[in-house]
Amino acid sequence: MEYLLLATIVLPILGAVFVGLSPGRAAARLALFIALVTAALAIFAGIGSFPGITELKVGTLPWMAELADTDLFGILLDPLSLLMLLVVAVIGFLVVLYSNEYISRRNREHPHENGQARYYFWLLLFVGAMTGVALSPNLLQLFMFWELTTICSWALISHTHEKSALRAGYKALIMTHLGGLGFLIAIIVLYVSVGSVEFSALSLASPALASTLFILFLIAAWAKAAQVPFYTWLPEAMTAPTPISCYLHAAAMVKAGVYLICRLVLANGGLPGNAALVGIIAALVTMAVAVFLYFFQTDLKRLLALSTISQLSYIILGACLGIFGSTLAYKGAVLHIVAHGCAKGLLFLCVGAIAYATGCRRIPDLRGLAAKMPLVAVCFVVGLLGVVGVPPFGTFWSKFYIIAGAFSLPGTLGPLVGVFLLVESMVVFAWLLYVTQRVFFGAASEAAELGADPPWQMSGSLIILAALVIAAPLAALVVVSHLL
Amino acid sequence: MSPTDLAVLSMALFVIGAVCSAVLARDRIRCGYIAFVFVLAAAAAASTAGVRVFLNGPAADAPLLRIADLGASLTVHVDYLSALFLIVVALIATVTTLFSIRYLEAHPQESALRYYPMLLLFFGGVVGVVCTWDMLFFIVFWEFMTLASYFLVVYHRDDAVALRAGLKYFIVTHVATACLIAAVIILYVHGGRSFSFEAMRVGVTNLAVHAPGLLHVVLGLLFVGFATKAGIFPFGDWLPDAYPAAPAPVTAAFSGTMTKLGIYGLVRVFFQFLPVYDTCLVWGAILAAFGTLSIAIGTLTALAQDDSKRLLSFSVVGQMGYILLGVGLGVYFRPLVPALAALAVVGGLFHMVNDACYKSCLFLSAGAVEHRTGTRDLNLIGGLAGLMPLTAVAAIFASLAISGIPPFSGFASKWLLYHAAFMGGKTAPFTLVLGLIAMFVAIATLALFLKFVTITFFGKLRTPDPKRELREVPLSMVLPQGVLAVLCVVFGVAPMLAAKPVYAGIAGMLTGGEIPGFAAVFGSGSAGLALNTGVGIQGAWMPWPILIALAATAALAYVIYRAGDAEVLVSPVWYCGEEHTDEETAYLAHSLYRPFKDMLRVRIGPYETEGIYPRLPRLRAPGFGWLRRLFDFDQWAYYPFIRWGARLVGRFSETHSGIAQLYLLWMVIGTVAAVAVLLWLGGS
Repeated sequence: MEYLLLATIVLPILGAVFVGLSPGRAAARLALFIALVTAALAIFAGIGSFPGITELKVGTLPWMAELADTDLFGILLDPLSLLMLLVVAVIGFLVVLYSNEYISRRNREHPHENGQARYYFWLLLFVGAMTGVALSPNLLQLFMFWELTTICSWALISHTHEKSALRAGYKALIMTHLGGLGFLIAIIVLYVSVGSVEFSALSLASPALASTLFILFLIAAWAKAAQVPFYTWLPEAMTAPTPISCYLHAAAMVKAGVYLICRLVLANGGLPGNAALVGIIAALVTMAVAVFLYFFQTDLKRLLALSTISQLSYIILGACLGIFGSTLAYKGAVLHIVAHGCAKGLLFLCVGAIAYATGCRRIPDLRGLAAKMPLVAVCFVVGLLGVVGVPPFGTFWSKFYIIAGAFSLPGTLGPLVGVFLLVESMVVFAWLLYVTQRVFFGAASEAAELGADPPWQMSGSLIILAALVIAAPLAALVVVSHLL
Repeated sequence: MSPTDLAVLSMALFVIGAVCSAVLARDRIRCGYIAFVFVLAAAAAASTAGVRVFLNGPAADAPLLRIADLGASLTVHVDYLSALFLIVVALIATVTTLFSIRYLEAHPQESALRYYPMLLLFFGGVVGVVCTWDMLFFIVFWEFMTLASYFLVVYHRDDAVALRAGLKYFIVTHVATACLIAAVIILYVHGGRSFSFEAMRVGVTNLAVHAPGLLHVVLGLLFVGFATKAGIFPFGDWLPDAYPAAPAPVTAAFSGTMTKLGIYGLVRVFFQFLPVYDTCLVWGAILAAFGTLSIAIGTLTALAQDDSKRLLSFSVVGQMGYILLGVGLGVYFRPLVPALAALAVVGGLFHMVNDACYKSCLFLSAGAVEHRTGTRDLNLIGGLAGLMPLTAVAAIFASLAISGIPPFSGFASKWLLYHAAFMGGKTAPFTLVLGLIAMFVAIATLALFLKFVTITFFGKLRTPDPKRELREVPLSMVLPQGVLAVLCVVFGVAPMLAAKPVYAGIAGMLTGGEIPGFAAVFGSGSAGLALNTGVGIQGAWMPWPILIALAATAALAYVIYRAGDAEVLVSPVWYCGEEHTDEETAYLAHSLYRPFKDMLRVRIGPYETEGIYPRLPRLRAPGFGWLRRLFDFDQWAYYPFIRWGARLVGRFSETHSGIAQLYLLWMVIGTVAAVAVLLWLGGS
């Protein structure tokens, strides 16, 4: 079983090389096959080892042998990494499936088929890097895969090689990499002061040092997860092909940032409260900023990007509330990774299908799409309900956990945060519902006349994700009950 | 099967029916019949569960699903109150689905796929709400119901008005749910980290002892949450917009089930969760006051309406006010005079049962008229009684019932309410005032429905489209109206038929002996109600003698009329010699109660109320340009920084000019500097 898990890292990375060497459509088919096998392996091995903890030491590098007593590199699977692994692998497969049709001349937004080998090479590498992040047993290995995801996202955001795309990819690379320096510094300082790069090493440091280090990790996570003040790269990265945006938002890249925080909180009991407070305040500010910017956004895809920013704040917030002792909020945060991943992934794929058919993403130009593309309309509404948390859909459960966890804390901070979250949820709900009605209902606009439901590769991904929006959080509820 | 199993079966049938009707949605008539069969089966299961509970008492519950982390479990439990609502829901679900089958023919452009599955899921959600015994899952079902109902409101998805109404409806009720969630979580924290109804009660008790201020906040949030759904003014502002937007059978289903669930929630909170404390006095008074406000504003605004469904919608606001008044008085008198509390709340819930019957019937009648004439505008129609006699009779019965004319059902329940208010006046004079307001506004209700009935069914025949064939609606649309109209009479002449189950519903929630037994308050006779709040019999309603007397006088009047054989003169109206067409001289719905309407309207500058219903002025959102600039970190932080850095680097690169002599100069300067530094270091 351990080796099957290892294969979920190795297979996509090795496969990426083969895919990169294949010509045109063959690359797409091969990538689809590899992604499918990876997802199947992840599901089989992941669920097979649940609810236990699986560890495997693989080896170390000669010059790093002194860093730890045992082999440094390997894999670790516990309920937290299980959820992350499944999200990464399953959504990765769906994105590859979707891309098989999306990267084509039939696409009205990006009508070209060039560079498929390059595209699938980076995409599979991305999947491998993310499973690596999910399965990393210590901070050092996590950091390596972390930076690998940055490179992959740089290449994929710039995929079309248009000027704006190149610029957006470069911006994403610089901003997340600069934030990642915080991660690197924190690891070095941690190793120098307590002699370990384990996840749990943070609690060995003195409280003052621990809070400084935690804030450094937070900076890395903020940059990666596009939180204030680093959020500006994410809306610009919307120039990427939509399946890439989907993967970036639903499962990869930004989720790596919040995963780091969840991992640190899980491994370290008794982290200092003032560092957690910084995380909470930053999360609240991010939510406020993102929600404010909703009202001025006219690009459907960028609106979703802003929504991601505020939803990721929920996860960081829940994890930081966990530091204050609210296990419920922490579990909610982990649950939110899954629930938000499915719902946001679905929304992005729907927007991709709209752009594929109509070549348009501007909210004012889109009207009455429901009559032309009923399947996409249904999926979009399901995704919307999943993101805003209308029961029994997706994020209702995770948001409820976080809000109930916040209210359960003694003192005034928790209830205040809870009220803030409720208000934020309402505003987001109202605005997104308004936008959905505008885009899908009413008489069809000129752009919408072109609309049609997409071919089976894209429809299939949509339908599977729509089912997951409802089912995945319920399954994840079982998994999170084994956390802590 | 136990009532619990039957309730679960009913929910399952609704869900399966939704799936089946979704699969077979292509043929709308067949889809409708399949949906109806499932609704009929589910309704049979639900009402059997309800009847069983009334016969054998509530059964033990069993949690179907647990979420250990949260302390929540999906527990289905049917107590007397749930049983009462189950029966009402079963009835309304059956008649409205039956009515829908042919009604949808008039909208061939809309798919049945967006109708029956949503309708069945909606009913499933309603059954879930009334049967669950856990606040978390209550909220889950509650929002699920709201979700399904939203899709029904925006069924006409090309209609901008319907879309705006749907948006408003969903947002407002979603905010109300957020209030519920906040309140429930506070109770969860103070009630031992569980969402069960028992824990909610513990939470309220703990708050009452340790933090009375917070208890008021919690009760306030719960009140706002449930009153919004119930359409109580001003929280139910969505109602007059959303109800007319939905198809008529859906509106009937909403008014018969969903709106009533707001009352269900309030009764659970204020009778089951809240023990007898002084808090009851505060919240009882607030509830009763809001109820009376709703009665006045809803009913008086309805007078000014010319759209049949909008008129009925405002009257929903008014009727919900009567129910809330009863519940509020019941809460108020709990610590003071338990017998009065029983009288008031039974009056309120009895009125709720009646309202479910006559209001749904009226919505269906309005729908039937719309189905045939193609309009809801009362100014365009008239004199339909001859062409649609059965619909006319049903509408007249329901109108008489809602206006509280004996011996129809509305009279019996309103009579209980007035009694509670007037007799309570001895203890608390303000209830007397509320009762008087409610009673006088009831006259406006009569005026309102005289307008509705006479304009629609009597007078000269008017129709917007003379080419349209006008005739009675098919049997599947008449039957639902007929059933409901008959119930309006049945509950009027046999009030104890409804009063007893309602009483059981309330008494089942309270700790034993809090209110006196049914016979002690309402008398033990089977012919009528004899009220006694502990000081002897104060009033009695015996329908049969009244009915016989009414029938006898009516017969006598008819006999006199026939015996007199007076000649009926038909002569043209004289307009001072001018010639007028019928069109110009017709007395339209708009003209009725004109002076009264003008008196009630409030105008302040461009702002104007609708009837006396305040309309929110349209607000323009500010642009917040400065805030947007502040949040654009790129523009004022990152890009300037990068540009500055680029300039710096650019400066530096200028030194690489490609002129060898210059490089030589740099080398000399560098050497001199290095030597100077070395000398300085060596010297110290």
